[in-house]
Amino acid sequence: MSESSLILRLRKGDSKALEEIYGRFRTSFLTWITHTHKCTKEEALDIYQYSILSFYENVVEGSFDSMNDAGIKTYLYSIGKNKLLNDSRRKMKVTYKDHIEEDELIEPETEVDFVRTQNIEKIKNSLEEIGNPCKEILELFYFNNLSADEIAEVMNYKNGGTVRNLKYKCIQRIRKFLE
Amino acid sequence: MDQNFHLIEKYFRGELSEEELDLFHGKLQNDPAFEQEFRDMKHIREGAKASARMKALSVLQNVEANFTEKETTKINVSMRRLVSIAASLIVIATVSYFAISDRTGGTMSGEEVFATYYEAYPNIVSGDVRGDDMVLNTLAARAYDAYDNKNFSKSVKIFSELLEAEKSASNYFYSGISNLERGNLDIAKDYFNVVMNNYSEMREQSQWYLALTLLKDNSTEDALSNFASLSLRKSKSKIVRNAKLVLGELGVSLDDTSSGTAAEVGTIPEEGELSPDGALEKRRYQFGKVIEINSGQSFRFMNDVPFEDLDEGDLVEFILIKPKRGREPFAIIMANMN
Repeated sequence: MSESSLILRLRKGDSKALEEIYGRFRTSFLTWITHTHKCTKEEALDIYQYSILSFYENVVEGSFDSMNDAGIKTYLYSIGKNKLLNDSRRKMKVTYKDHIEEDELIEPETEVDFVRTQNIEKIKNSLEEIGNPCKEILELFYFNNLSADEIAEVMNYKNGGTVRNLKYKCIQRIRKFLE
Repeated sequence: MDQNFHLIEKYFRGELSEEELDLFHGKLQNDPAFEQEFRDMKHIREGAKASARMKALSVLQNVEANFTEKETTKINVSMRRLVSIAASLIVIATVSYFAISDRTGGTMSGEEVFATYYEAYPNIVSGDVRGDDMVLNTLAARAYDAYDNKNFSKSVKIFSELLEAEKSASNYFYSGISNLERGNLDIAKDYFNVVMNNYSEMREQSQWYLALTLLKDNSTEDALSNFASLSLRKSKSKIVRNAKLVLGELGVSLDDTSSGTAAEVGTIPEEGELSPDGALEKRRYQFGKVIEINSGQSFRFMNDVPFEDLDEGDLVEFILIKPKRGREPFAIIMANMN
């Protein structure tokens, strides 16, 4: 399977492609990061998963159409390295501040942020509740950035029109949860 | 379909012409219904993205579970997260326990199981992965941030505020773990159970942590009932596998399904005491006696997720849990046959 078609499948939300990429670079990534950056296997796994997810996000945002094996590997390594550095900086900062934070006053919430967090939580719950096809359609639209026609192809619908209708109805259903 | 919907969708895709963009901004300022719809759709978009990320992460965690299973022994699986030197000493101790347990069938104590299997659940709700669009200074973000940094005394405080404002499965769940970390076992039990009884998500995770909390609290039977119920789930998750391992390590075996009659049924707290939205943040469980249909033997049972319509006299399917060393077997109810 060539890289570009793996990336294409990933873009279309094919979880098998995600599994394939995960398996392909896992051993070399874990060996590399545990040896060069002195972290535990557990930290290495977290970082690897984080790197794969970042890669996935960049693929769906259209940052690259095709990339060879070496390209993906370099990309994953650089994400991993940055993540590790950021984490260790963050840890140091937190330890340093720890005793102060205990007594810090909790700042008042701005109403807008509050409604937003609350709404998004409600939406995640309602997506679980109404399930597929709504959940999958909206994820493919908004996370994978696919067009209605592409979604029709992935989900075996007649055409993009069907998907657009479904999407409209799904969104109206979710808005009911927000009222 | 309505015009506003299309306008907003086009805006998301960055496809509005200059003229349309003017129309869009005009409406946003002057038409409250439009403003509301735009805000809702923006949130729906973010919610769908967050849900897709959670899905991707769980795909990765499942593949990883397969890899780990292949390349390590079962001891290493359960030990995966324990990394300090102190922990590696426990590994040695556990290895010998396993060596014995192969012959005698389970010699770990509840405490050892807790020490071996407990780890704070990774935060999959809010984290770096969601990108920089999350404003960090919201209550939720600060609660999860404290959780991420393992500052549990702080996360306990912020979560309790957050829960007053926003009740959700993940808020209860992570608050439960924070409380467990701080040794507030009763609150932890309540919160995990609230998730299991009131939400459709995070139930498996909540039951796993409830079982561990009960074990730590020396409520061994209640813990076993929950481990057993987890081990009987069909999913192949790490939790289900670990639940099976735990039962093995405690020397517990399960019988095949039996049928019987529910002879006594009680639920705590009772239905009437419960407010409809589950806002009473108390552990709710069911207990009583079942009588096996053929032998006429009676067994106690305990379920952390009550069967709402279970009445005395109902025919039920149950599974018998047999602890080690001749302790009384007891049951969990699997289905109400009425």
